[in-house]
Amino acid sequence: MSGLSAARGDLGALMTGGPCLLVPGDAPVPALPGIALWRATAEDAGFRLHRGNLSGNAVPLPGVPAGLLGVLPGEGAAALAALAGVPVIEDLAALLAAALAARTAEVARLTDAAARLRAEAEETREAMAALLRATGHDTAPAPALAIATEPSSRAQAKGGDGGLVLAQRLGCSLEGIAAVALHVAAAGTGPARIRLKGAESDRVRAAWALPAEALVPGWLTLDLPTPLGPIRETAVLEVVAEGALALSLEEAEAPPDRCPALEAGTAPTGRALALKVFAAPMGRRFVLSPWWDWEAQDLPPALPLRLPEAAWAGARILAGRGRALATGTEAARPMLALAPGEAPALVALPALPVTGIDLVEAEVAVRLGEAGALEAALWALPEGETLADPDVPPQGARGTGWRRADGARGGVTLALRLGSLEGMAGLVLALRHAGEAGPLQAEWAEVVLRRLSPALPPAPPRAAATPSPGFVAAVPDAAVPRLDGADPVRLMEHYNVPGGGYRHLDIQVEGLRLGALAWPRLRFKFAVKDEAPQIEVRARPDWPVLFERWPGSAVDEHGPFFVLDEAARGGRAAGLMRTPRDRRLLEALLALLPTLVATAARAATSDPAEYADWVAMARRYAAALQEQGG
Amino acid sequence: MSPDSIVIAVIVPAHRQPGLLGEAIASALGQEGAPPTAIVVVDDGCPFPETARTASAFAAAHPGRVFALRRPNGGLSAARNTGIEFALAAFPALQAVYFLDADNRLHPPFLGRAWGALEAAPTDTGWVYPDFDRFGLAAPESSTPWSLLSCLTANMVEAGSLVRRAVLDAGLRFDETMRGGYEDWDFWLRAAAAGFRGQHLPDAGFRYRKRPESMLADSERQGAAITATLRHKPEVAKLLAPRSLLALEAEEAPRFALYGTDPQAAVRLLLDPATEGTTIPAAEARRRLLAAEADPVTAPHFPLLLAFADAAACAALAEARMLRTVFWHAARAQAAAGPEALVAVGLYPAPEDAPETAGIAAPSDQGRLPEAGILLVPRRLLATSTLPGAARGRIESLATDRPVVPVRHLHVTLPAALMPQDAAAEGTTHRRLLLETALLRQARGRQTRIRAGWRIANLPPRETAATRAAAAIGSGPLLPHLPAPGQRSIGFVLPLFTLGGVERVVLNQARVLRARGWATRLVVLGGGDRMLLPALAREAFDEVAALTGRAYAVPDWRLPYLGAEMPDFGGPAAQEALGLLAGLDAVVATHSLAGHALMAPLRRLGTRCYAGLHLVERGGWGEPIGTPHTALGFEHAYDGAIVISEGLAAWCAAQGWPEAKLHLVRNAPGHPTPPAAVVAALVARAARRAGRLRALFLGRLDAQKGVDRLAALIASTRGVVDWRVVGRPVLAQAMPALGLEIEPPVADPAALDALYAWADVLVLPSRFEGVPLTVLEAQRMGCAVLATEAGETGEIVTDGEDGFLVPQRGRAEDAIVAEMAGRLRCLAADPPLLLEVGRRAAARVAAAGWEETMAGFLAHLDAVVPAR
Repeated sequence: MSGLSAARGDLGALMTGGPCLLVPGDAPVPALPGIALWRATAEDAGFRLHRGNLSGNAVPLPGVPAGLLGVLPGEGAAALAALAGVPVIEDLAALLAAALAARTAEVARLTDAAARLRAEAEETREAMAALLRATGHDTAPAPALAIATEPSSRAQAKGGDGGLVLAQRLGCSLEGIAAVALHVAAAGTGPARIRLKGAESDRVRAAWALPAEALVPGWLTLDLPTPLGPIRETAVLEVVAEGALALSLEEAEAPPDRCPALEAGTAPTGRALALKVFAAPMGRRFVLSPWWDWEAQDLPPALPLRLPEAAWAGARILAGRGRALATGTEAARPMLALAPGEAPALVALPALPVTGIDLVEAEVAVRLGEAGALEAALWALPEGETLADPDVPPQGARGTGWRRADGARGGVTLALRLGSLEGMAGLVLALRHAGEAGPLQAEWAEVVLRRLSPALPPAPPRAAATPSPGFVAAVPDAAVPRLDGADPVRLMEHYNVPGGGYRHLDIQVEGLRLGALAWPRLRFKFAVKDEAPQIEVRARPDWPVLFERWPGSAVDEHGPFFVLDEAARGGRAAGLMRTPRDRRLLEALLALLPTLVATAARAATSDPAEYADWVAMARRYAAALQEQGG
Repeated sequence: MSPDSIVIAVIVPAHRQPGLLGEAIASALGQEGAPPTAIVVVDDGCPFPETARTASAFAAAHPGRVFALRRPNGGLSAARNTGIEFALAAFPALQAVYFLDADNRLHPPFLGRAWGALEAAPTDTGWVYPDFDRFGLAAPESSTPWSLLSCLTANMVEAGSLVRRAVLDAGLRFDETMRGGYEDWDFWLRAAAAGFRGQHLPDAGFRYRKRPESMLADSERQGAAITATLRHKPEVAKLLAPRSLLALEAEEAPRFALYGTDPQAAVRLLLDPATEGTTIPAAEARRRLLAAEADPVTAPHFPLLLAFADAAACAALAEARMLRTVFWHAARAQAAAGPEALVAVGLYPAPEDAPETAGIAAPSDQGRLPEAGILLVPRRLLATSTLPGAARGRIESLATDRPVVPVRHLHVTLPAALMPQDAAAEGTTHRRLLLETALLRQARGRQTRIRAGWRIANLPPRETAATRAAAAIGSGPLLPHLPAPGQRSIGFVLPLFTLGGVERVVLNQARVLRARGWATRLVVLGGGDRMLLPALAREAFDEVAALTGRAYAVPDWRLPYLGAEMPDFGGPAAQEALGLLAGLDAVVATHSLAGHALMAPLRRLGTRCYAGLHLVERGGWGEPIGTPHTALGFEHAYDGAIVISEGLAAWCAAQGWPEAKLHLVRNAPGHPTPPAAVVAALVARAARRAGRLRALFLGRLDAQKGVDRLAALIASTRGVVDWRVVGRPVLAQAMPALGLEIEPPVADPAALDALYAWADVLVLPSRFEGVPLTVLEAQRMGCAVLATEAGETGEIVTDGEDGFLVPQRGRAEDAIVAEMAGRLRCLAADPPLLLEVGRRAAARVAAAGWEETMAGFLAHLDAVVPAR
């Protein structure tokens, strides 16, 4: 340790790396903009660094600030400087001038170095191009078959309502891949995007966009314009197809990490895709690849992408009454007023780059209780097209059709697959009042664009071995669940469909513990549907990972979800959990459920009867699922 | 970004790599999908000012995300620890720490992926580690699924791992004294010792710069020295203790896959064949076998040895206390015979003239496959025999007279009463092997050709981890005996076990310890092919381990110790024998020359070692010699010695044994007798009124036992004494005529007691003795003893009180015989005296059974090996 200390709250400010000086004792603090000044007060065997506030306990500094230039003169300066390993500065101006000169010189060197690197990169590119020109004229060797698996006549991965979206490891690296082939079992009825990416970097290295008519039964060979270079990453094939495309699986058995992971569609377990992978030396083969998607290289990561504020600022109301409205610190969103019988309101966003984007999700928010009257539709238009009538879209446009509030989320959530739409596309939201009661207001609250990239199945899970000796992984049967933290339960959303058919509390919990097991964060919806309680959990990027092994298989347009209702009474609920840890989670959750729901309900309503009903439902549900099996 | 929101801290130690530091920081800043992350750059006193300037520049450009500290140069461990302390103090919401060396890089999704895996993992998962995706000298290498057993002998975890805060909260830090490298390996081992485990994250996106010269290159040059230092650390040494290795092997890498003869039955993966192990369906076993053959480094573990075993054969071996030993021997024979050799374990009954014999002969080559209760088949043989295109019939050739597969035969002799009786079971193990071969061939045809991975697998596979770990502690493969939790264990080492006096003493000591909850193990070094194991012996031991051959009794006469023979026993043979003893809490080595050589390495492994000393013998020239003399050369390697007499204890002290190391454990009768039988004998003796004096001699008929004196005694007292002589002549020696029929030796306890009950006097005219068990057994039944003052007989016979002692030192033979004959005539004429002496003798023995004589030593054992 350095002999220096500081308050915990000052540690971050101390170690910013910026230039700083220490001022010993009561020495005067000069005005030096751009340089952080810290007082050093003698304490115990060292010095405490502060900015005038000595309250609270200090912690030893594990190191000194990297930007520390020195110690200003004053009482104790020598001792302080010795501890900090810096000099006492007699001539500050000279020191700063020297530092500035050093930085200036460094900038010059870095600029020179950058220029040299750029020159070398250019020479390398020119050499590569010359080499390719020379070798490209040679007769290319036929690609070698690196992997070949036989298609099964029965096992298929089939597209469903959401199409077919899957990903699978190929068991090889990307280096040298010249072509891949898939076996189409049933013709596609919609377009498909097929991508080859590196699992480690998540970067797309090859992509094809195929129209439906290209997806005919038989082997579908997809060539790369030139074989991939020395990219030593695990090759992963992704398929994002609309409609009823079916791809053959192989007859042989495969462990889970080599089977396709599905985000949409169905496939039997334990079978990999029937495929072929061809390899060839880099720089020796150049082909014109049909359906090659030149724009889809190096796509953004498969994470939800939200619109920048400039895009929202450019929103235009094409029809209807509305304005931009900002709430709190958020940027303005289009807010529209709708009346029964009026023509639909239309809001358009500026054209957006949608190359490589598979799915656009839009959320429309309304006031509590008004969602039932709202209908919404989302359109994606090729650049340059407009939408005057939502029922008469232009050619090439893709739309969701009119949708009502789905009851599960409040408002309206629209999910639009972009299919083969590429380049720039405009988004248009259409809204109309489908009820008969008074006017309502609707806000276009959110747009999220996503590249569909199913999470790959993990490697074979570790065997359910006994815990390491000496570590309390076993939880005593008498362990009582508890919550750590000052405010562990938060109400994320309270939703109530008019008429009472459905309501839910969306609850986030932090710091759940049961014996030696801990879950830092979990989120679930406690819902009452037709007077029957249930719990719903979702696998989404903005939901914490809850289960060690996901217990369900249901998927909708928002992703995988798992619902546990009272039908799982009598011990069946525990049986649905796939690992001991998940069973203990369920046990802890059920034990705490009435408390969690009560806390959330207190925030959701001030009506005593409604509050009491929530708690009663939670108790009833927990009691049902805690019943022992017969 | 506020420090209060930071969830992950990336610690970047920087020293002498200023040109590369920026790449590392930039790659950490470019992470996508990760929770709030801060980068903490620790300038470890780098002499190049560019390091500080680079760190400061990034910190200034990314306030709240990059922090820069400086410290005097302390090495990589010190720099990481500095970063840890800062992160723990500055970021109250910190959940994990990632260590990024300044010359490495991360793909953008790495931290998000690692964090997701760590969050979803059980709380005992302390860290998530990637593959070694090397760039520069590009050779991406896969790591393996977590195995503590593997980690003990190979550094399989990259320092670039995401570590859960709980590991740091448990006090774990990098060892700052390890400046030569492998400090990360040390950290992971100590974390594992604290109860945490790692988790492999495939396709993680970590990029490791590999250059021909680097700190790691330096470390690899000093690898052996650093590894030795690491293994001596208390936490690591505890993990490498034999009991720990056995537990890890059972949990992570079971040694055997046990196939029963029922093809529908599940396969058991186990270390200890006497346990259940882990059961998996047969189809799953085939899948795992094929996966392990294809990818031994990354696939889930599947044992290298497949045992096709008949249940009745296993039961018989278990009853004989030899099940684990036979499996150990079979594995040993297989390893010696070649990677595709098969071992057939045949069970054979003991000969009719010695029906209680048991033993394991040295393996032999066999032309054809013999009838086998157990077939031990290497996984590789089965896998290669089922490859597409492999010549069919390799396994099938085992049924012919000339199999193309090498076959070794392990001949195991069992007591006749234990032999399996079911003739219908013959051939079942072979048929099961054939069926499994066919099913495996089918299963192979159904396996996908898509490989698990493409990286180089340079790490040693888990299936060899146990062998490597045992070798690391100087042992051969450990006996596959999984100790019961909390149970203490003790081994008894002997050169042979034919129920002579020494063996009977050991047997009784083991029986007492077993009754007190100890697991007892008999280890025979040398005479393992012919042991006497009646039921009494089998009840005293949980396991009988044995090795056969002359190597265990070969003296090295080049360097005697004060004239006493020293063992010529070391190297691989000693390591192998150590495997039968390592892991025991205590060992008593009695009369085993090779045993002495094993004591020092055993003590280093934590076993308490004791020498069992019985008597000082005489050599061919009459010189005092024997095990006690040899033991003097090894006194320093022993924790103590068990001596059977005060005389021997005094001798040991005089020879230099510290008195505190000597434990007196007097002999007691060599076999238990029901109290009712003792009472009946005493009552019958008291009731007997008429008849001549009955004298009994029982023992070897040789000069040491005084057979010539016996002949003279019989001749001079035939008129007043009825004699019975029970024993076996020693063929090499001339034997005088005794004038009566010699009865054959008796081993059965009831028959021995009947002899003692018949006799009025037990006569022992020995020239040389220790503390004869026959004296105590006879006294127990109220028989008076007339003996020469040989050995320490005087400690169990008080002249004139409970027996009669005749001095012999310096006396003429005639005088000795005459005095003994005179005593017999006196006793013949004084039946009340005879009865009283016998009564006192019985009372003396009744008060001193084995539990009583061992009390002191048992208390000592309880103190040095406390119950767990």
